[in-house]
Formats: sequence, structure tokens, C-alpha cells
Amino acid sequence: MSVADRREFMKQAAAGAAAAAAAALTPGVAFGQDLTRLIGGLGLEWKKTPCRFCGVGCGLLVGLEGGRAVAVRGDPASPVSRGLACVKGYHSVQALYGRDRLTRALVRQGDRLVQVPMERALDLVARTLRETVEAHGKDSVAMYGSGQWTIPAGYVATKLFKGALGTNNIDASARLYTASAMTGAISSFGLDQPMGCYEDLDHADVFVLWGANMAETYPVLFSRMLERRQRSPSVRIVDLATRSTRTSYASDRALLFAPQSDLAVANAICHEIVARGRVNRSFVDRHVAFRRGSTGIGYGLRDDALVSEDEAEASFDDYVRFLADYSPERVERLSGVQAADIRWLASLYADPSLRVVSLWSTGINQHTRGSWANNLIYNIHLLTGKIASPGNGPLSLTDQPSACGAVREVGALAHALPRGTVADPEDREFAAGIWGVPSSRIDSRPGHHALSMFRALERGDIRFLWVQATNPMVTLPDLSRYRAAARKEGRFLVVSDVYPTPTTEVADVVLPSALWIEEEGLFGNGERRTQHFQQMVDAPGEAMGDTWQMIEVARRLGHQELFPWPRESHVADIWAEYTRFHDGPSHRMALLSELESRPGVMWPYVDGRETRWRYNTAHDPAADAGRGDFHFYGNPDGRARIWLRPFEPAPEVPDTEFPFWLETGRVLEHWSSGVLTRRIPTLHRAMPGAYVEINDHDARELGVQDGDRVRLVSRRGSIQITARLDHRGQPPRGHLFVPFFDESLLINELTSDAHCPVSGQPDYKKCAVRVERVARMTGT
Amino acid sequence: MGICSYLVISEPGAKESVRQRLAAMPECEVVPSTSHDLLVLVTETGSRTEERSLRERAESLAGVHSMVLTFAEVLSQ
Ligand code: SF4
Repeated sequence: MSVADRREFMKQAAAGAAAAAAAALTPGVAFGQDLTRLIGGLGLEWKKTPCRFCGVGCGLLVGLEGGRAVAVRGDPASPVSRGLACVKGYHSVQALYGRDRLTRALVRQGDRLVQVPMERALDLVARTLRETVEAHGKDSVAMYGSGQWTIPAGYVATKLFKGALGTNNIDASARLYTASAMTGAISSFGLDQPMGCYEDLDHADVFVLWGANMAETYPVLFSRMLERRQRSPSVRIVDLATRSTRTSYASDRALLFAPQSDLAVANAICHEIVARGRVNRSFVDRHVAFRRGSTGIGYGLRDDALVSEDEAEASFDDYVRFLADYSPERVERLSGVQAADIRWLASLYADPSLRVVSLWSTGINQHTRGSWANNLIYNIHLLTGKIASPGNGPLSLTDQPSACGAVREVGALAHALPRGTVADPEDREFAAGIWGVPSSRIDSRPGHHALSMFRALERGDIRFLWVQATNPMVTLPDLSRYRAAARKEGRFLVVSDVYPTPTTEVADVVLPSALWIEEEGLFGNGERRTQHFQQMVDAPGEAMGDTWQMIEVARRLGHQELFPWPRESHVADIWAEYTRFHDGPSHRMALLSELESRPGVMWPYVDGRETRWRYNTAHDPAADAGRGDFHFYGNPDGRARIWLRPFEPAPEVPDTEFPFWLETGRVLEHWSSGVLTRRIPTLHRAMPGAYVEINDHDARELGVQDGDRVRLVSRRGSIQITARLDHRGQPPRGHLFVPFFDESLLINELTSDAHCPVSGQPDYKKCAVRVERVARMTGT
Repeated sequence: MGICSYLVISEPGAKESVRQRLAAMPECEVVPSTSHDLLVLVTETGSRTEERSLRERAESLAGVHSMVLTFAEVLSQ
């Protein structure tokens, strides 16, 4: 391409990106010219891939020239995004080319990390791992991975730790973002993963968003919802949230609830449905069983082990008695949501002529009762029979690109196997058969989940920890505690990443990783869709894919026979082995050859057909049509569960010393801890640093103006940060919001490690803090 | 060479005047939306400093509500 052509190309790409961003934010926007089409052609080679960022899994086309990824456009063939992407997706390839990419391995010498050849670093990792096991036992080593892993990486990590080393100490940062969705689905339906899919957004009449700021965190799906409303003006979007956001402003109704009271609001909706006689009795009688579980289960603050679900049978009458505590008037006092609005919500859910989709993400999942909160949303859909059919259903959205594919489906969690759990002897036998190891090698006791793992590091029970593709020294709650744990004498920390981070700062060995399209891989998104991408560009320097790093270490430990695959074909060979775990009608996956040519395939994939609605006998090949329209085959009795889950308060609530709720979360421009998006100049410039959103009445009382520096203080730590009033989001009185992408403003110094004792997922949305004024910015 | 694009959100009713003011700047090419108070602005400047100053000038134009950067050059020279 000549310089003039290149210049013209750049301008067209720039115009296309702006137009596409406009389309993502304002569906239906029209320009005199079709600007998004301008960026096609121009002699670039375009290859498909899922986006590297969130779990929506938008399909992108990456433009390649001279061995570099130079442009991005939305893939019109993608059923997820239909040619759209958000600003993160459009700029994603720039994350490959940050100036400070890690290209050489680093090993700690005293206070410094010094460069060493990759081979030597891998030798050191393998030797230290072996010596740690010899000195302290197999459970003194652990792997902390990520929903940013590819599926092969998650699978190899699981096989290495569970099948080769015999320890279940493997968990992933997906625990921090999505674990409650997993345990909630399993307790309600007996199986993980959503029953519906994004196509539900094209059919629903009502969208109820439970604490999900989709306009910023899932913009492409949000725009799909807005598009649906534009086509059918009677469609309603209801935003149930703890603060007002861009999502609230675009919604038809925005209802604010007090933190933690979502549990009570969901029960109050069911109370109203029952009281008005609007239960779908034929569905409930045929497909539902009622259950009650333990209550008062704590907040995981002292205990490391997760609470296992005990279930006692209950009846519909028991459920009605249980709901008596949740009259709309009573819940109004607790939640701040007016009884009339609760009744209105119940009427939407109950109206047989309306199709209703509930959507949620970390607002519900990062919750000390996250697993219960998932159950309670499922309850509403089960009570009304609005589930697992086009436009009707609950859909938990996922933050990480492959939290579902590489962690939840693969079993890269402390209790799990690629199929089933470590506690189940048949599942262990099955895994051992595929892996070619004695079943006795697989330990029946769950390993440490994420927080428990770092607590074990603190105690010294874990001595060797390998962190891949995640940044716990930004994202763990109560951060100073766990940073101190990682720095303790006698701990050996290996970190595989693509850029220097606060986590690599405390590492003993840093392994440079290949990023995204620098290796072949597969992601699994939040609607059970598996998406393949080829290697498109070379990784810089000695950077190596996470999967291959683990295979190299496994071979050095003498496990060549378990990891025999040649480098050129290892992804295909791993896929062939992994999919043997799912070779049944409830989870069969597509062949790699199909995934290579298609923009993703949803499982169960049987006889060339994807399953869009699981448990629906007209769609799901594993569902028995003899059971009627639905068959919830994950539970032995074929019925889904309605759980009697009470409201229980948060462990830490505002008081006179710490009078504000603190909530953390994401913003449009940055993804997760910002390692990648902060290196994309466009995104960094658009959102250069974190801030605290304060309600303007509170600010006035505190004497704080927009732009002032304030100190936020919790029982665990403090930071100084810029105050923003009337910013993107507006919190109600007594409520603050801080995004967590900024490693120079570590908000997790303040958050609590209280977590859902069923799922192990921490609650980043609620802790108590105070605000102290520091200084006024001159000129503001 | 630096090429950037922005989504410019104009005040209600001010789209045409914003278009004219932006189009009068030699570094700018503008495509207005036909349906919303939005404009696509593509800029070409010689340096970061020039780009910053251009952005500041554009942002301070009457009728401009806000601007969002959507693209900056990806090809390093
Ligand atoms: S970040 Fe999420 S919504 Fe944005 S393009 Fe990527 S997958 Fe789509």
C-alpha cells in the first residue's frame, strides 16, 4: 500500500470506527454515507476472531498487513454482534503493540527482576514446583488462572494440576466475576450454563436488568435491546439498580433499590405473583420442585471451605408461607422500591402475553448471597413458566471472554473436572480414563478456591503459586492483605502475562505470554458459543502461549506422555481430547473444522444443529419430549428448583464512622483491571484515571466540588481520588461508585473479602467507607 | 501523520452550525448523521500536540456538547 493509500485507508478506518461507535451507542443512527463499509477492502487480509475483552464474544474481523494487525471491523457474519463492536473491540488490536510488552522472561534477583532466556525460566519454574512438592506435599502448589485463558489453556491447566500433580489447587479469576452464576444455575437446574441465548433479546417484550449497567459494560447487547425497542415501541426496559447510570437514562423505568435488598425485591415479586393468583400452575406442577436450604451461612470471612448445598424438600404451601415475610409494603421499607413498583414489576413478569428476559451480571453475582440471588431470579421465571423459550428467560452475562469456555466448561475450578466434580467417584474415573492416569491420582477433596488460595499462601500452606492471564494484585478484594501474603518469605510466585502489572511486581518469575491472536485458540462466551481463532501474528520476542508454557513445564516434570502433542497441532489435539468429556447430547461440541469456518457454534451441537434453548424439548436434543414442553434433566427428577431463600443483610453496612456504601465496577472504555485497555491510547485518553462518583447533595454537605481530591477510607485501607459529581453515573445519597481499572488507584485496598459462602465470589459492590476532603483543585 | 476520529455530540438543533464550524478547520473532515445530533469527525494533524490543541478548539465550539475519541492511528510509521 502506498503512503497515500495508507493515509486514505486510515481516514476511512477512522471514519468507520466513529460511525460504528455511534451505531453501538445509538442504534439506528444513520449517516449520509455507509461509513462502516468504508473500512472493507483496501487489500488487507481479514480474519475472524471473537473479541478479546468481555464475555459477550462479539465477532471481529482483524485486518492484517505485513505481519501486523492493523485494523478491526465488526464481523457481519457473527450472530452475536452482527457487525457491531464497542469502542474496546474496535481498538482491541492496539493492545498487542503497547511499548512495554513483556518479551523476555524475568527472574527475581533481590529487589530486581532480571532478564533470562525463556528456557532457563521454564527450567526454574519446573524445578521449584518439583522441589516444593517434595518438601511440602502436592497441595503446597497451586495454579490461579483466568477466564481470559483460551479453552486449551484451561484444559491443560486442569489436566496438569488434577491429573498429573494430583492436587485440586486450581482456580481462576472467573471465581471473582461469575462463580455465583455457576452455583446458582447448578442449584436451580442441576447443570451450569444458561438455558437461553442472546437471540432472546430479539424476541422479548420486557427486559428487566438486575443491577447491570449494560450501556457501559455490555454495550453491544444493550444496543441489540434498544434496536428491539426501536422496532417494537411497546417493548420496555426496566433498570433495577443501586445507582443511576447511562443504562438508567436509556431505560423506560429506572428503579433504585438499597444495596443487598435485591434478595427481598425478588421475593416480593414472587409474593405478589402468588397473592394475585398468577402462578403458572400447570408449569409449576409439571416442572418444578420446591426446596429449602441452610440459612445464616456466614460470609466466608473466617472459613475457607465453601458451604455445600443441603436441600430439604418443601411444598408450594411452604413457599407461600415463606413469602409472607415479603409483602411489597414490607419490602418497600427495606429496599426503597415503592410497593406499587414492585406490583408493577410482578404484573410484567406474570402477564402471559408478555415475554420477559431478566439480565444480570456482577451486580447480582458479586454478592455475599450471590448464589441465592441467582436462585431468586430463576424463581420468578419458574413461577411464571417464562423460561427456556424464545424471548423468555433468565440470562446471566459474563465479564471475561472465556470464563464459560475456559473455566466453567473445562472444570478449571477447585471442585470441578471437565465433566462433573472431583467429589464424584464416577466423574474421577471418567476423567482418569481419558487422561490415562490412575483414578486414585485425582484427589476427591476440592482444592482452594480463589480467596482461599491466597489465604493458604498467607498461612504458608501454599508455597508455589502460578498465576496466568490475570492480575490479582489489582483485582483481589482487601488487597493489602493478599499482597502481603504474596510477598512473604518462602513463597514462590510465577506470573505469566503480557505487560508489567502490580502482580508481576511481586513475582519471582515472570513468563512473557502470547496475547490473543498471537496464538491459535478458542473462547467460550456467555451463551454457550464456542469461537475459534487462528494465530494471525507472531508473538513478540520470546513470548509464548500460556498453554504451551504449561506443556513445557509438564514435560520437564516428566509428564511427557500426558502432554504428547506437537506444537504445530497442539490446539487441535487438545480439542479432540477435551471434547471426549462432552460427547453426549447435553453438551456435545462442534468439530474443530466447523469452528474454524464458522463464527462460533452453540452447544449442545448434535446432528449439525445448535441448541438455542436448553431444557426445551422442541430445541434441546437431551430433553425428553415425553416430559412435556420442558425437561430439566440436570436434576434427577427432571424438575427445576424453586428455592426458599431469605433476605439476609450484608456483613458490613454503613454506620456513623463509615457512612457510605462503596460500589466498584467497570466503565465503557476499560476492561477489567485495565492491563490491555490502558495501553490503547484512544481508550486511555478517553478515560485516563479512576474517580469516585458522589451524590451532589452528599458532596455539598461534605464541602466537596467536582474535581476535588478526596480520601476514601474503609476499615481496610484508604486512597486519594478525584471526586466527580453529575458524572456518567449518579449514585443516590450515601452511595459511592469507583471503577477498578486503574492500577494507580487501587480501590480494592478498601473492599472486603466477604464472599458468597456457596460460590466463593467476593462482594465488590458493598462495603462501608467514609469520605474525607483533601484539597480543592484550583480553577475548578 | 496522526489520524483520529471522534464522535461529536452536538447540542439539540446545533448540528448544522457545528458541522460548518468544524468543516472550516483545515485538519477536519466531517460527516453529520442524518438522524441524530451526532457527527463523525476525522482529523489529520502533524503531532500529538497539534491533535490536542485541535481537540480543545473543537470541544470549545459553540453547539458542541461533547466529543468521544473513537480512533487514533494504529499504524506506527
Ligand atoms: S468488549 Fe464485549 S461488547 Fe465490546 S466488542 Fe468486545 S465482546 Fe463486544
